[in-house]
Amino acid sequence: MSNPFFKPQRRGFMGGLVGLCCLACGRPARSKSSVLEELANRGGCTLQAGDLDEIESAAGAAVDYGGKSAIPSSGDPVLDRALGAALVRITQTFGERPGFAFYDDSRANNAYATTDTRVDGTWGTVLFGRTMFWNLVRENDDQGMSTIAVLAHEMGHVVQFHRGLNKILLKGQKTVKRNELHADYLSGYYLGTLKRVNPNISLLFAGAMFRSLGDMSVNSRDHHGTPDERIMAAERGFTQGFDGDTLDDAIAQGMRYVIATF
Amino acid sequence: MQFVQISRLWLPLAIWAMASCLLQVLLAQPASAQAGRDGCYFGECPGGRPPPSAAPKVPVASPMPPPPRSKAPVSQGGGASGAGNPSNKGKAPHTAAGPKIGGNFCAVINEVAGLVNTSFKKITRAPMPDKSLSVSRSLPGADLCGVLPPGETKGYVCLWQLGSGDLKPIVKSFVDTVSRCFDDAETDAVDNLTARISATDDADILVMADADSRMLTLVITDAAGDDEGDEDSK
Repeated sequence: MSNPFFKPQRRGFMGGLVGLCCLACGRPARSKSSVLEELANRGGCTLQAGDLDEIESAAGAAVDYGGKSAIPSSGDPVLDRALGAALVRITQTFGERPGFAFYDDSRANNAYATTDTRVDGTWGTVLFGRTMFWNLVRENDDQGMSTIAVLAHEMGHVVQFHRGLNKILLKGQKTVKRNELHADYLSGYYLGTLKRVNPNISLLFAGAMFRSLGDMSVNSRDHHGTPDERIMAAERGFTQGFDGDTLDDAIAQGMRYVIATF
Repeated sequence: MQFVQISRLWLPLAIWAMASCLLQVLLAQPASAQAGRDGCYFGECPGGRPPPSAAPKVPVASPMPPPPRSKAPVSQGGGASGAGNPSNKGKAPHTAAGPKIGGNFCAVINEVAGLVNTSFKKITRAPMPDKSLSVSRSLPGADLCGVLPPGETKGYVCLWQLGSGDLKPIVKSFVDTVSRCFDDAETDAVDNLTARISATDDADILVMADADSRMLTLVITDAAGDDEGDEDSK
């Protein structure tokens, strides 16, 4: 299988994977509890403190911890390597080193970011639903850009957590929308940086994905933004990334945008 | 039997009325929020056509080589020809006049159809307050999707704003595309602009186009619930 993920000119960041991978050592399989279903119903993509413990307890073997190569497993070794390389590039751009793992999202496709840390030398954790991952890889002929967009969105949450931005964004808010749209903004920024390096990558599917992830539950605490709002935020971030602005500029401009607009 | 057939004719009208009301709620969005409505994202448009002036000036992408295909853990409907069909990977996601259909369209529509009868809550994110919509899974490419309000027919609705052109072939093409997402779909054309698809034992799908608003509506309803309604009308 060839590498489905976009590769820039530079290669060989495998050393950086050390801090990226496993959540913890393998655990024996346990029966799944209602925790996963509750999390699935809750939706959203940020976990509260302690949620990771519950996911691990509930999912048991459903959470992949990688293996000797210390690369999180998608179920396909070639994809794992490509994903690992993509993760390294994302972490370098965002200046964050969260742990990464897959989890069983068969009940509701999703991905999560959390401040919970499981691996020494990392900060926070990104969980990618395996079903969502495979759907994105299978359905979109876009060199994995839709998958990368999701990862960059979650990495945006890690940036928010680490810098305390989520508290500013959520202050006085009834929904998590500002947090989500800011993460979309940062994801768009990252896509812009990629497009700047390689104009040939196609982001059409990634854009359509942003829209499809929107929802109309405007009164729900878990409202992430309408389809139009989500792609608008990502497009604005994309412009900054494509123009070569720094991450700090994008973070600040994204904050101003979502606070002033929503 | 006659009552059954009549009620099946009335059902599209009733759902269309509900969908029309929902449409007003759904479309109450800022006029400025139009990104992606024309199928263009990140300065790139389907088929390489020029992006709108507001989009960043970036080179048009060249065709990408197809990614590897692995065995999927999630079921997907069969492929078919036609613009925007899920089998047409790498091609333009929609035509100028027809509905936009995203990459994992069949996977989502299968998922919704499977849930509508048994555990509809699973596709909602939160309890639905009156007159608000809650859905976690939107059909890729649809302009808007939502769950029909509680107390009415249990269902899931998606809307597409259509461009110019004759609606009849658009409806026919769309119905064909939806039907191909299911193994044993049976299509029953109510009229030129309305068709009913029996997708599974659990779900019925209605496709309706409105000439005035140029809106295409797809409604997935609980087939079992529908049958109950038929019995009530006898």
